[in-house]
Amino acid sequence: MALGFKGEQSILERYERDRASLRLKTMVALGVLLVLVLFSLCTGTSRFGLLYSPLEVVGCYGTWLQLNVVALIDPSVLLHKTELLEQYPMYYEVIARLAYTFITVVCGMLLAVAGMLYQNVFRNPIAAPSMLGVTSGISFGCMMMVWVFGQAAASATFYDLRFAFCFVGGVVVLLIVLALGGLVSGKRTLNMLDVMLVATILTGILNAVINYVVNSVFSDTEWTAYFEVSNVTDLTFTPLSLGVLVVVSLLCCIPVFWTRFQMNAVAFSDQEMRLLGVSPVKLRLIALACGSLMIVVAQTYVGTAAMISLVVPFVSRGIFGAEFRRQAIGNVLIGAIVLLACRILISFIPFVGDGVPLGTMVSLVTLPAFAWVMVVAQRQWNNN
Amino acid sequence: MAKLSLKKTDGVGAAPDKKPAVEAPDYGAAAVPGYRESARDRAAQKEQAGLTEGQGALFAAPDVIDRGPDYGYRRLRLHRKDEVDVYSAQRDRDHRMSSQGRICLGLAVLLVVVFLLAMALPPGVFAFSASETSLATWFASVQHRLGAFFSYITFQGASYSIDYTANRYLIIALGGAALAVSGAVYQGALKNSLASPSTLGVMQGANAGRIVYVLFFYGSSYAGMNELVRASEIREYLSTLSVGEYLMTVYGDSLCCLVGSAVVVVFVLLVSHVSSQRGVSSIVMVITGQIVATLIGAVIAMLQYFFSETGDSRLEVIRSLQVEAFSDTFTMLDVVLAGIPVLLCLVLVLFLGQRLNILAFSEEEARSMGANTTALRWGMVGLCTLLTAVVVAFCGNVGMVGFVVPHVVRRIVGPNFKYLLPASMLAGAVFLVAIYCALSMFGDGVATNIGVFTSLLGGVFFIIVALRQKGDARGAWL
Repeated sequence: MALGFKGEQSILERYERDRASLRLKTMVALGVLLVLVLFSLCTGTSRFGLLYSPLEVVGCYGTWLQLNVVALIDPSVLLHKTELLEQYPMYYEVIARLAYTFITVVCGMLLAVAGMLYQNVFRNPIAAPSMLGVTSGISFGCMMMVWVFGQAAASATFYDLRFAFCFVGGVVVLLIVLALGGLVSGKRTLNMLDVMLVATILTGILNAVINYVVNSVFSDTEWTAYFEVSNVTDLTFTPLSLGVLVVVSLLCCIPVFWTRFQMNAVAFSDQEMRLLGVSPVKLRLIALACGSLMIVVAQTYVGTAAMISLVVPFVSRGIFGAEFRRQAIGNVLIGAIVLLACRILISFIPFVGDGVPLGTMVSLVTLPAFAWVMVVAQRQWNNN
Repeated sequence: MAKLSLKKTDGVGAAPDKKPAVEAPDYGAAAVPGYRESARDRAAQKEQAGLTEGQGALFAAPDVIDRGPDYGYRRLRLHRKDEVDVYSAQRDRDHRMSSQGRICLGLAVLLVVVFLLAMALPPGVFAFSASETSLATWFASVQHRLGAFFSYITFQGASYSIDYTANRYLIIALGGAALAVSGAVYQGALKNSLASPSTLGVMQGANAGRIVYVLFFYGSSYAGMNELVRASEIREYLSTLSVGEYLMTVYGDSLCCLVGSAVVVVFVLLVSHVSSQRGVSSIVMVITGQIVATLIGAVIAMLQYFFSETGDSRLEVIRSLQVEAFSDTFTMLDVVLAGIPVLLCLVLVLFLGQRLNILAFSEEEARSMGANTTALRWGMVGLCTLLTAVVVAFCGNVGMVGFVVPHVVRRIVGPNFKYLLPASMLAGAVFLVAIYCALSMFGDGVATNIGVFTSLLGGVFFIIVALRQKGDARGAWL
């Protein structure tokens, strides 16, 4: 591609180098993710620090395929089910682990991309963790569930209902925040600062109420049930829940993909965006709606791990660059890597119950990583 | 420049002594409406307007000095009684208190009134006790308690003791003032309207310190002396200790809170200092503070889970620590130990806080105006961190006061720190005292869960004020 001026060669060289480095970074991230996925698939869940050999794991998958896929064609395979399962005593564990790895990877991607969308739209990184009050709404939903059902709320029978409560809680809080923020901004405008202010206040109110109810009103068993419900400490899943996760993720990603070039224009002010032919209101609404939906779904499946939404966009912006598509690739990969790494660590660190909750582990991992990033790499990146 | 003084000239009724050097052109009465040619007509007009002798000086015309046509016009216009003398009105305004100052004074009076009322009102007026089986009995006991209060007020009844109430309300007022002013300073120094005293992780650091105290020092603490059940035995035991041991036993958890806050804040500042190229970046600092705060909250939850699974009795202590505030009985020693640092810091903040106005400019502009932005910003932030840490250490978790009160006050008084700081201080004290008083009327157990109600009421207040002043009000500065 000849540009036709004197500095052309160096620009082309720089462009090629840039593309090559981007490819390299993406490959490295993908490689790390793959390694982590394979490692996670081989981890056992019945006790801490258990690692199965990959051959056994592959054998389990083969058994699953035989029992579920081949059986559709040739049902006689099911007659040998008991013998096949006896061959692999860790069968259910491994299959569950496969589903959970998938959930973790997808939720990590969703959390990171949601954080990126919010940071793009609000241009204020402090707003990211509270997520317009959605996190508090989800916790409120969990609290209501334990209030209504008592300590049985943590059992597997209520697993699907948990999604309903958390989802409704998150969406209701989001709508209240947007409505109040719109009222406070004035007629026919939506000032983001006012929305964030209202969200912070509502979050404070909700958190105080939740804190009071959980610590003062609930009995000990109810407190434990609330803890388990909000942190999703158990590893159950159902086909319905997996299906909902996949469908909602795709639904959220389509508008983001559609506007991936226009999203770069948020670096300008509103007026300049309009001059460029980009509608700031439309982008804001897309980012808000998709980001909030992603957050609600991800936190319903994985518990409150909001730190990923704050730190991972920061990191990926520095590594991959600030352009929207690059940022998106970086966020998707690094978010999945971080959440999966935390999940693996939980399976290897002995603790009571089902292990350290995922949110705590994410915070524990994120803080030193963030400090390292800030201290060492910030100087090279030259951002803000 | 002409003399615009208000001295009673001899212009009224006095005839010019000598003829002017230049013949003044004759405009005639029709040229300027309302102008009367003779002094007699002017006096008649003054009488018509109902002005007394003294006020007539405003309307005195310089018959003696004629400086030309255009100059006289402004003085001539003063003859109309609906005209306003701009200059004297401005001078009057200069000597009057500004409206923001009046608001501050009103808040101070309100604080005194609310404080006295809170101290005098009996606690637990509306409380439900287990012996009251129906609404009628509850109502009767409410009436009885109110009757005792009214007979006290009208000097008919016996006095009832308000032993520790004064100490408690003193600490509450100081705490509310400290939190609110810290919030205002944080929002101004960090130039972010979402900042609050908990931004740098001070409150969570205090929580972490308290948890460490519960984990490691609980057995020897004041509250952990399980076997010494009666208060007299505890007092006996405490009197056998030396001064140092006594302070450690009674105030050990407050000390651990302070240490925890200090550790967290120092860590956050260190990370942001080492990571920035030109001075400390406030965004990095805020994010680090948020991360550390979330981490501490998650670790505390994890610890609670651990205690609940292993059946440890300290779980209840930790659970109550997270929710309760102002739950101790406050002695004079508490007031002195907590109140003196808080008062000193408040006075310092009031005096030094006026310089925060210059931080509204960008970094370069403020520096070019001669302000030492680094020292100013971080000095004030450090002072307010100390304030918040002391308040949380002695009182417990009280959320949202430091966030909401400065916002509401800013929308009423404006962003000028000269008025914002005293106003938010007073408003924070009034807010917390009023809420605690209202809650304590429902019984002791309700008042200690003050965090919920400060959040609720603060949030509602803020939204009401924000809705009433839409768009650009006095406070929209970010």
